[in-house]
Amino acid sequence: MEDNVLKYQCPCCNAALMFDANSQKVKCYSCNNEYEKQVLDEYKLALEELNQPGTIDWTEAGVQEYTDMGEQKGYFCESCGAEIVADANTSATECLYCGNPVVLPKQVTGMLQPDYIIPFKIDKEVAKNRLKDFYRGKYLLPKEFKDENRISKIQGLYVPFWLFDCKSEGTVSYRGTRINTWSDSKNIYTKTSFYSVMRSGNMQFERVPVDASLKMADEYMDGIEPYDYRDLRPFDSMYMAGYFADKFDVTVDDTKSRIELRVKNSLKDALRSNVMGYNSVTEEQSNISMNMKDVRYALMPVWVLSTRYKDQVYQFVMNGQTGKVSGKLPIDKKKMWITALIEFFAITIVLFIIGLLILL
Amino acid sequence: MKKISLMLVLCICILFTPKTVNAGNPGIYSTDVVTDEADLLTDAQEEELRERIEKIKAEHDFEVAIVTTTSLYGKGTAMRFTDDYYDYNNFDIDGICLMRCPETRDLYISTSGSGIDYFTDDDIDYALDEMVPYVSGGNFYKACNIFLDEVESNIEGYGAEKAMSYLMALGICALIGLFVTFVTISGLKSNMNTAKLQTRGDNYVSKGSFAVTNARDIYLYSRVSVRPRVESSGSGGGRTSTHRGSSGRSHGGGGRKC
Repeated sequence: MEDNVLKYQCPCCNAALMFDANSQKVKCYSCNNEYEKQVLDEYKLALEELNQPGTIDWTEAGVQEYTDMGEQKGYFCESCGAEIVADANTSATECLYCGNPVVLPKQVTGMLQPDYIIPFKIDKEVAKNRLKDFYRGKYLLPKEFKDENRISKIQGLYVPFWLFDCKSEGTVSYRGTRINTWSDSKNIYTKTSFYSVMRSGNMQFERVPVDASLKMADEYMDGIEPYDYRDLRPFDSMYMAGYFADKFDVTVDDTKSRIELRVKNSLKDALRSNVMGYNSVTEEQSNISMNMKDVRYALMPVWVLSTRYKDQVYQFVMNGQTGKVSGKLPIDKKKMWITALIEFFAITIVLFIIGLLILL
Repeated sequence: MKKISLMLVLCICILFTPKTVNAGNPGIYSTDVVTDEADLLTDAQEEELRERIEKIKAEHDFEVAIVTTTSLYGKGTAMRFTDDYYDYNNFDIDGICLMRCPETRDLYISTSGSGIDYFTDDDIDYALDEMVPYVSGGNFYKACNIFLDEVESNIEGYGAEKAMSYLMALGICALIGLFVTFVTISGLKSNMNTAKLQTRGDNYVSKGSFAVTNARDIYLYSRVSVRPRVESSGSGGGRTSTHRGSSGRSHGGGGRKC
């Protein structure tokens, strides 16, 4: 019997498999499953493919040298340490990042000339109206946020981004099940068939953006994606007139994990959507490789309003090209509890009265 | 001509013949809550029963009548006799009536108005089961007391049951209220934060660049599970069946031969 032990593991329970002379099949004595040898060979081959680790190749994506734009007029916030560049006609009255009302003029150095810029398409009035729309229906928002004076403090800022071009390829394995049910006069039978499902594929990405500003929270910037690259222009300082700009302080190395996650997930989603005809599909293993092709530095237009409330900064940001908004607003807790109590008692009493009217 | 006039007379006869000969007739005319025509109780016993019945009426605003009779007075059944006795003697709508007729060996309970709610079929069966040994043993007085005990306990039990069901209904309403409040407040809160990290790059996939290069679907094994069909079972209990008396009023009730 020892001689019959094969170098296979049972796909069901991982126990060692043996060749059964009677059935001429490969058998698992642990879970009693029988397999055709050909099926196991195919299964083993697929597993071997998956066991090779995915690679991430950044060699082709070297960051180029950028021209230093020299000393720029700008502002410095003593509260959060932010430094922003402003053109000659732009004056800051408060910090764009923390809402602190004391900002000092400063000659800002280290601004590197970007490859691209998407110019602002939405003006301040539209931005203010969009902000008012964003506040509308937010019942739990404290009153001071809706104040017109506060809303008019919204400012236009060019936020630095890294844009990545890359190619990804890989294989994902799944365990799929198909369920058949039938019955006779006494019993209901359910047959669950298990499949090993594998999909390999590749995909190319162009200019996946990751914000390169440390002070600008990633979730805000992600929230106002996507940008329409048809408006992407070679950088010209002319576009900066009337707006602020930030220099990048997040390097390409710092953003690698974020870009890799996004590329990997998109390919996995696309492969998963190709698996059809099963009642359930569970991912088992994946092997995704990425080849980063090109990295570019660009400025993206964003309308920003940062407001301090109870020692915390709440930001509203809006895509200056598409008008898409994102933000985190504080909750008026007193209002929330009063609303909850009134709602709870009102619903309970109304339901009880309706119940009585129906029953009596 | 003769045939036609004969038919006419026959039709008139059919039209004017009362459907129920005894409609409007209570059998025994009495407004007394204890009427002992069959003489199964002593005067003292009747008086004691009247006192208990008055007490029940005062405490629960619920009419109780006890009647013994030597005949069903052409009513045909104990049910018809008891219903009519109760209805046509103008007892309160909310009440119960116990009837005993030794000649026909009938013992019958008829309920009316809220009495139908207080006494389910099972309650009446239980009361009759308790009374039958005493009735057939000749102790009708004891049977009447058991009947009145059952009346009191059922009214009180029904009240407690009703209070409990109101409390439960309030509890369920409060739970729904809590759930709906939780959902709406959570909705209002989630509305306050639209900043979300992106974990996908789908917007930046080059058009038509996705290609599946290899696809394998390998059948491994299967499992069959068997479970017996579940037959649906009927539920019962706690029900009161009602019928309509000749007066048009609804009654519940039940009886025994003993």
